[in-house]
Amino acid sequence: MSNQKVNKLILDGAEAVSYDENTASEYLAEENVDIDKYIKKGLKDIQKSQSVSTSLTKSQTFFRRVVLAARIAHECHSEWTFGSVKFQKLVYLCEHVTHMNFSTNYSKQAAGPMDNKFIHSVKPEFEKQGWFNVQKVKTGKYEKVQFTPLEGVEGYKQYYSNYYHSVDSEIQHLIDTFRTWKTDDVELVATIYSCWNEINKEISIFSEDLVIKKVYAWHKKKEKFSEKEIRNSINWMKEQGIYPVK
Amino acid sequence: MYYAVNLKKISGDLKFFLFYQHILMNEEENIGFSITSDYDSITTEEVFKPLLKVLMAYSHKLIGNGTLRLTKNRDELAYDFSMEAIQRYLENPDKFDPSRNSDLVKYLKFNILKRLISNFKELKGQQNECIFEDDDSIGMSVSKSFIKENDVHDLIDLENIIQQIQKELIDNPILLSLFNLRYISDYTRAEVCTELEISNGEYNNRIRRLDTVLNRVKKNQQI
Repeated sequence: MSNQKVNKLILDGAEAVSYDENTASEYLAEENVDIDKYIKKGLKDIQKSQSVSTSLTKSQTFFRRVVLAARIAHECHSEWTFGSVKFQKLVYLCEHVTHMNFSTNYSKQAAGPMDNKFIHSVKPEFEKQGWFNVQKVKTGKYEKVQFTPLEGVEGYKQYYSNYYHSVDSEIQHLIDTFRTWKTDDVELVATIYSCWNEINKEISIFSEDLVIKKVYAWHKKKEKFSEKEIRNSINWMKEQGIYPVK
Repeated sequence: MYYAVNLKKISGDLKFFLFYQHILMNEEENIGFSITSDYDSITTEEVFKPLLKVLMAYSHKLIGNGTLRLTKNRDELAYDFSMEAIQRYLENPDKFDPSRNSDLVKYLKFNILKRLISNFKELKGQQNECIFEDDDSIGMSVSKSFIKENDVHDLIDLENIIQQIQKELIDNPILLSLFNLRYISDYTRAEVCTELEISNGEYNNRIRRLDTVLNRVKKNQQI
């Protein structure tokens, strides 16, 4: 009998400190629990577990990726630096930094990692959905791909909210970070990310020198980046937490 | 709405939006954090954040800082248990029956967390060694070897702890009246609040003070 009462008292105590968000926060602060760290970790863990447990068909995967691409295009279409290459690199970074584990076919292209098949099929899909018109336009002596929102562009949002709500803040952070960046700089970050990922998969020991070696081995055109630029990018990625975790 | 602080007097989404911040601060109106609809939203940041805080506070308190030899620190354990509870729900949402009690937070706390921690403490009590397995690929696994369902702190074997607490409360009529109503007369929280004319917030404060007394008594008895 006494035990039951003591149990009840203990359970009441636990209920009292977790009654609502405020009381829980106060209690956790008193106990020096770094709750922000755990929330961040928890969101990642949840997202990971969902991507692991969800087995999608090819068409489901494709549509989800199109929805993510629509988000990126919608957010960035009015930026003068936003064209086909930057679009592809942002899709790559969003998919990888948020551990979406989609079945993809990225290959090493001159301008960094690229899923050729997806990129070529996403444009007609945008138009089919009535979200964007995608066409090449000439601005001065340059030609670039332009994403023009169509009347139904808001339509992607309901899907985006369903598929990506758990990682929305991370995606938004990436978009905001790279929004005004030059294409070359985004290309370099995406390439480094891919090389870094490769090192992790090979179980090689990470070093900046190894990344640099892999960047130059990627394609001859990567020589446009100096060693210093690559090192600076690696350091920036470390500071921002934008790198593949082993 | 993704999550709701249940309201007795105010209804309607618009009023909820308008008064939400105020109501959170107003303990007369606040009857606790609950999720009574849109259960899928628990993976969204805006719902997950308060949910994890509440579950971790609950777990952290239940784990206690007693004599169990833990190989993970208490914070980590509270996190693991909380995530395990959420994960178990996400893997088997059909086990939660909203027609019985629509509040998912209560389900997570009382049907999953309490049981997980109870079994953990039971095993710890028996083995006095770590029962946690290595993290799985998603980093949130706790032992799969929870085998017995029993109430928290069944390990406490005390004949006279209630008398000891009452003795401690002789000079504290405020806590003693709550203690007697709740633990001797078996009043519910709502009944205690009505009887003593106190808010839920004040009830929580007093329970926390009682908990301090309990810990003191336990310490004196070297439990």
